[in-house]
Amino acid sequence: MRAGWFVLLSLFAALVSGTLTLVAPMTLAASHCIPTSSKDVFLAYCTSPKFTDYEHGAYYLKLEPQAIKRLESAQVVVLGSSVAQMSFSTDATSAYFNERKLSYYLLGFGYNEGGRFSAAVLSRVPDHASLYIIHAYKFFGNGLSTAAEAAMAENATVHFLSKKLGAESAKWICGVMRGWCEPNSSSIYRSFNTGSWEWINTYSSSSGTRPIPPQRPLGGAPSPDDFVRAESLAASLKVPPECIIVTETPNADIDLSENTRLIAEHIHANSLIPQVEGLVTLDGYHLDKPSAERWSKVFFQGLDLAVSRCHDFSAK
Amino acid sequence: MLFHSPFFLFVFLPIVLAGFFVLGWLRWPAVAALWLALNSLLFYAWDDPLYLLPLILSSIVFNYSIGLSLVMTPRRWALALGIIGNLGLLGTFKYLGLATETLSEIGIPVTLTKLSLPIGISFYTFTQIAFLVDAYRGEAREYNPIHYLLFVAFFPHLIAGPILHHKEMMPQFALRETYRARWPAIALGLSWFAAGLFKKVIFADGVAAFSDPVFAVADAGKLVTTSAAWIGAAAYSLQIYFDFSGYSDMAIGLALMFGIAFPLNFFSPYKADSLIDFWRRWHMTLSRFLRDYLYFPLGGNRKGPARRMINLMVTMLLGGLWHGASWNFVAWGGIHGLGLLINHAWRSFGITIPWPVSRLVTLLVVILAWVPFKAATLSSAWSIWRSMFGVSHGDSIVDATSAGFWIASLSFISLVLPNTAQIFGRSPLEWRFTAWRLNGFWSASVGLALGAAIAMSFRAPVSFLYFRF
Repeated sequence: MRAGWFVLLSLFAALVSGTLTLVAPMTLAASHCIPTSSKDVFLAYCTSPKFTDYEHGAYYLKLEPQAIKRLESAQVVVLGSSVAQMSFSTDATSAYFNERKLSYYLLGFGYNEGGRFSAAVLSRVPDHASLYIIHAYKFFGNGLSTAAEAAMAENATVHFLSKKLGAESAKWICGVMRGWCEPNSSSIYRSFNTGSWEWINTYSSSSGTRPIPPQRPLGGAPSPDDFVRAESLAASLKVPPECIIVTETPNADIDLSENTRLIAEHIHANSLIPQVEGLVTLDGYHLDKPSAERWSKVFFQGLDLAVSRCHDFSAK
Repeated sequence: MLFHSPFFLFVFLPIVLAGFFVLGWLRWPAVAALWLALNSLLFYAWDDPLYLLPLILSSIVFNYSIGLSLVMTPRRWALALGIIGNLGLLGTFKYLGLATETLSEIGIPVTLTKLSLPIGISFYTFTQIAFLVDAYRGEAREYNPIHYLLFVAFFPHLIAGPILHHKEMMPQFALRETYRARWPAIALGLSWFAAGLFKKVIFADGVAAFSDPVFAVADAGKLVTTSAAWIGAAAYSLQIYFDFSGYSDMAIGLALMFGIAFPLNFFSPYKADSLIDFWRRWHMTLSRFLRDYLYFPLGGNRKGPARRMINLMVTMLLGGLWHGASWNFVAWGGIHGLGLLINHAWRSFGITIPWPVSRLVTLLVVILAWVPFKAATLSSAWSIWRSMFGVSHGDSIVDATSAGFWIASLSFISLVLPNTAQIFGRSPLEWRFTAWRLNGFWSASVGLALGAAIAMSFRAPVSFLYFRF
């Protein structure tokens, strides 16, 4: 064999072997994730132990160009944690914006993610929206989740890229050879177009759902640090304060509406905290699907005024 | 810059290699050498150019000037000046912290001063001390400044060796053939590189999962169980071997791609039948340096048995200290020094013992000696030793089954299988079928190993252990 051919063949074999080494373990992990029939979505999270979170890397590292493009062009962006994602991933949300021909994007993240990570993602996006809705639950804390740290780590791209390719190849393989896959891990899929979640078996508790009682203890006042972080985050959004709407969905343990209102007031933003009776949560914090529909419908009834007062969307 | 970083593999190496051979093809060997030398400096200074570049350049200019004067007129004072200058530089950056700390601990009021250790300083300082001594002895004649710059800075050996002799490198830089692309050398170099990378990323980083946690617990002042202590010590013995020999294989492979042959640095050290044999197989270029430039100048074995013992012990203690500014390394060198003294004494009695026993005893001493080398402090090393010999009531830290699998597998590879020098034809091979050849099987094997190792290293590149020395 000629030495030149040896080198060429070696490099080709290295390419194949390297790709397989990166993608095969994640393909196997993703093959356990319960699939969806929805189109235009990507696997954002799956309880399969080797796969877990992908959405943090997908946005921070811009691994889903279609989703990033939509985020960049969205007129309204919703920020928050998984609670926000569950509350706004509803038909009421899409109906509201569709009727008004407004583009929107849900940019909440699992793992109780706070505003620091959202700000980091937005700092990498050239065009910001004209109106932001901030779901305040744990949003003004200072921490980064482990998933966020992983996405922001020095060598994160290869790791998250292997998840992307693994999820895509598992989807293809499981479509062709159904018997090979054992889908038993709860999953969350995320829409490219709106960022809304479709969750399958996640957040459900073995002890059943938890209704929200009418009377709950009041949450404490925000700390001075919360105010400082809220100010900093509001400033980074580069919109007038009145174009920031701060909200909160009720939870089963504590009433945070006053806390949320105080933060909104401090940054001169609008607060919109609908009070809806008879809501039910999956785990005390995440609304179940019917409750999310009801709550978001009421929320958007109150948003019209804020939207019209805020600015001219056609400028976008 | 790490050899297994994406930038090195996909940008730096292809560009430097292509540029080097294009310039060679244009019959501009001096420009090709300069290109390689400048890029080697870029490689070295990549992480902190303002700190690293002046340091290495001043070291090179200083040594080249002294060397040039020694080549023309070998004066003792010039050699002394050169050696003092080099040791002064090394001492300032590497040992000032230890010296001030020790003085402070024994009650002498000094300001604690610890400078950050510039990467590779121990290697390029020793390389240049050897050059000065060779120049003084009249053994270094070539003094082309570009070739000298390349000799010191050539990136495959700059950070962690092998420690090169001027006389084995300069003739290669002077050859016109070196600057022409030779595909067989590139294929062989790629194979060495793949083997080294695989050893580092798969073996060394893999088995580190069983050594690091054990030593971390001991370093935190806690006791570990007897089994954990043995697992930790054995795993570290394998980790450091595959890490450093992997690095050396990669360096040899990279140099070969540029048409340069490096000396071997490892030859199955854990197959050694004695400590004397071990030091002929472990970090061979450092052993050679210590022998030629320290042990022999001290008198070697020419001044009687007592002086020989002292010379040997001094050499090993200083060899230990060369690894780092810590009494742990001195302890490591001391254990090996003592072992070598016993070994020589044993030999002088003319008693022979069966090789399995001698090999096992040698391995045991080597493993025990690695404990202070790895431990953060002498007290944590003492704690591990105590645990190894039964004083133990700690928690189980590592999964013994997985650790057993890893240790057994890597032990088989290092104790039974041929080494890379044998496989790639630098040394006689007992098992012919394992010999590297230019064929499809080896090409595919090299590619598979290379691809898997690169992919694994991309997930979380881990630096080489010897980078900190």
